[in-house]
Amino acid sequence: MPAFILEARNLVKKYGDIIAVNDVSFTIEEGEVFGLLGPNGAGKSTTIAMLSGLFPPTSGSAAICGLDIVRDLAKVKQVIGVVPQELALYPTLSGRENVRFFGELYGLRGKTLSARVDEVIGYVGMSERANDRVQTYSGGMKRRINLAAGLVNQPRLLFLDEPTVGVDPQSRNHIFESVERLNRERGMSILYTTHYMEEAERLCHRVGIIDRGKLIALDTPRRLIESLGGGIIQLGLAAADEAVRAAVEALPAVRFATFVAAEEGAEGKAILKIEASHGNEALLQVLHYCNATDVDILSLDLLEPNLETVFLNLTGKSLRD
Amino acid sequence: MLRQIWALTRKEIKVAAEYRGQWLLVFLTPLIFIAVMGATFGATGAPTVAVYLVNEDEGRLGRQIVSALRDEPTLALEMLDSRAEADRRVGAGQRMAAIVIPAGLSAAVLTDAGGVVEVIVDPAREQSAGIVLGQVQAATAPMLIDAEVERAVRTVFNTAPETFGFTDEDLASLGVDLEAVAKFLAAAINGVVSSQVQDAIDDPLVRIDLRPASDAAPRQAPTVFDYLVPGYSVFFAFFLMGLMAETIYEERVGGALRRIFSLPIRRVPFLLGKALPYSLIAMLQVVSVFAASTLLFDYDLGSAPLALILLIVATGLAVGGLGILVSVLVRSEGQANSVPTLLTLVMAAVSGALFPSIQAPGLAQITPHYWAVQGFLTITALRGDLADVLPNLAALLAIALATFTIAVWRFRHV
Ligand SMILES: Nc1ncnc2c1ncn2[C@@H]1O[C@H](COP(=O)(O)OP(=O)(O)OP(=O)(O)O)[C@@H](O)[C@H]1O
Ligand SMILES: [Mg+2]
Repeated sequence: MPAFILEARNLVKKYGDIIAVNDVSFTIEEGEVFGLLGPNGAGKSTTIAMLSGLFPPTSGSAAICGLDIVRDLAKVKQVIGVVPQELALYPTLSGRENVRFFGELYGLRGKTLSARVDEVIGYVGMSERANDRVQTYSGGMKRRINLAAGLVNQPRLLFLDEPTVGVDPQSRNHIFESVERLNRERGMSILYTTHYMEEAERLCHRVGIIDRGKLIALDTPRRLIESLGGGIIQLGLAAADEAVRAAVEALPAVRFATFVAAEEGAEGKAILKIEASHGNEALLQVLHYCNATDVDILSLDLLEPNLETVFLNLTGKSLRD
Repeated sequence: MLRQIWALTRKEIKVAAEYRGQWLLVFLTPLIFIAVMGATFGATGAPTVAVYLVNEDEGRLGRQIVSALRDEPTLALEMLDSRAEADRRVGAGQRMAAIVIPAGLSAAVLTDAGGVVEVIVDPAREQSAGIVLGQVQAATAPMLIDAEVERAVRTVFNTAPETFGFTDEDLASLGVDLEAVAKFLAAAINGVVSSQVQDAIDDPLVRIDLRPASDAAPRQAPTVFDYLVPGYSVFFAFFLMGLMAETIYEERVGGALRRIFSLPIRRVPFLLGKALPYSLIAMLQVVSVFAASTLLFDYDLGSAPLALILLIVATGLAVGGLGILVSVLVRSEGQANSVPTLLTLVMAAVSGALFPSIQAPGLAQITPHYWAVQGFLTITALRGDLADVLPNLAALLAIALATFTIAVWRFRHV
């Protein structure tokens, strides 16, 4: 039996009529990097807020290290670290003062505190600028200190809420490396939210895809992508002709074909979404069919098999607009 | 928990230190106001207090007291015919006090029972009325010593013949004018007394029977600075509420609150760590404005240092308590910028801190300003001590505790 560091069961959070998180269940194994991938407003931050004890779930429950997040909240808070989506830092204090302050709130002091502060600042590569005010940092540097502040209590489970938003490529890389090292060298378990599928693909052992509060898929990135088979072809046609759809779906390299709503500005055009079992072959077969039957192709998009496409396939939307 | 409060306090002071404009406003502006207002009203020495005066005494002493009070520049007197009428009008809140010289005072002071000048005060404005009492005492003290001496000398002369076994007639036949001797002796003793007033008061022979309700013995009539220094110090200290609301608002929108409350911290230590630094800054402000005023305006701090310190601490706590309540209740940036300032101005106005004669009766007592300013006045100008300001300390601590408790109850970290 794998040791779960986190077990979330049927989590629900309602804001009045809005259901921000709707019956979400998942587990994170000890030493795992778990990704929550979803667009704006999907409920990622709300899920983290409940799990980190900011407010209790409307219903459902969760346990961290076997401790209930409502009943044993004080103990839970000792073993988790939170890096909020916002830059939860005091801009007029230095990076070091910020990290120290959060360390003090954990009850650290004296040499332990100083050593821990130096260590986490070194970890995120901010030792040189640590004594400058946060407001003088670049976006990426602020994010790095934000990460350091979440590490100061040496958590066993780290919540990283979109830690790369507004970050330059260099800092982004640094954050990736920090996450990988924390996981590899310290065995830290991490819940990582993002709406960048490359991040989820690169960093996460398993990914949960969340949309409008619902967890709609959960697996390793590879298996999620494999579930798409050979990717998606989107074919723009003059009319939504059922005969055409059936014929395309009958092609050997095609799994499914469905008409989907056309995007804005593309009215008067029918989009046939074709899920291929083998991308290139399917493309050839579709083109051949259209040629042979004189079906006019108004547009053609071949979507790579990746998490972005998985999301699009599941929701009909893209992760970012 | 203490460590968390201390960490929050230090963080808060560092954050607050950046708001230079606020520091100028809170620390320097009150001194400027005190100086300007002092110069404007300095000519009369102190703002005038309007009171009723009733003289039911037929004798010399009554007339002397009336004329002495008339010379008192800080009192605006309106004469009334009877004690009953004065009592009714003061009770109705038309004036804060009435001075009543009872019938037969001149005679009464010459008896062992002594006489009493009465000061009827509006209970709602009892502390301001204490100032009137002080002025009455200051104005009447010399005449009462006169009267005391005269009584003492008469007592000696009235009992002397029996003591020594001869009668008035015997003395008269010897050519001694008893009345003249009495007058001469009284004048002589009076001379001694006047030069050694304190000794005279301590001397049982010239005991002062006229003891008003308050034990406060003023050094002199309060000066304009006795009102202005505590009034404006307290008024501007409450501007810190705006800074509290602003910084907590920024923590809310910036995500710091979310992070802090994902840490093992409870809301009481968090709110204490938020209120305490501003309480300390407020205390520092009162201390520095008072200290500067002793140098700049000859402000006299009185002679009850413990009471003064406790009052400063209680005032600081009230600033922190009320500030944290306002900060917790404001929910938008607009509110954070306007509500605390508005509240600061309104409270100062109704409390009488801006100007003692502008005071909303009944409303004033719900402001911490009122209790703080009246307390400082009691200690400084009226020479009161700890016992005299216990109600003020209690009121300020009650306000601090009540506001903080409501803040804890209303606080939402998300
Ligand atoms: N305090 C609140 N009151 C009402 N609705 C809220 C509140 N906070 C969040 N929501 C709603 O809950 C839903 C989920 O929000 P959440 O912040 O969890 O999304 P997210 O996945 O983190 O999005 P993003 O990528 O933009 O950070 C949204 O529809 C949001 O509008
Ligand atoms: Mg979010």
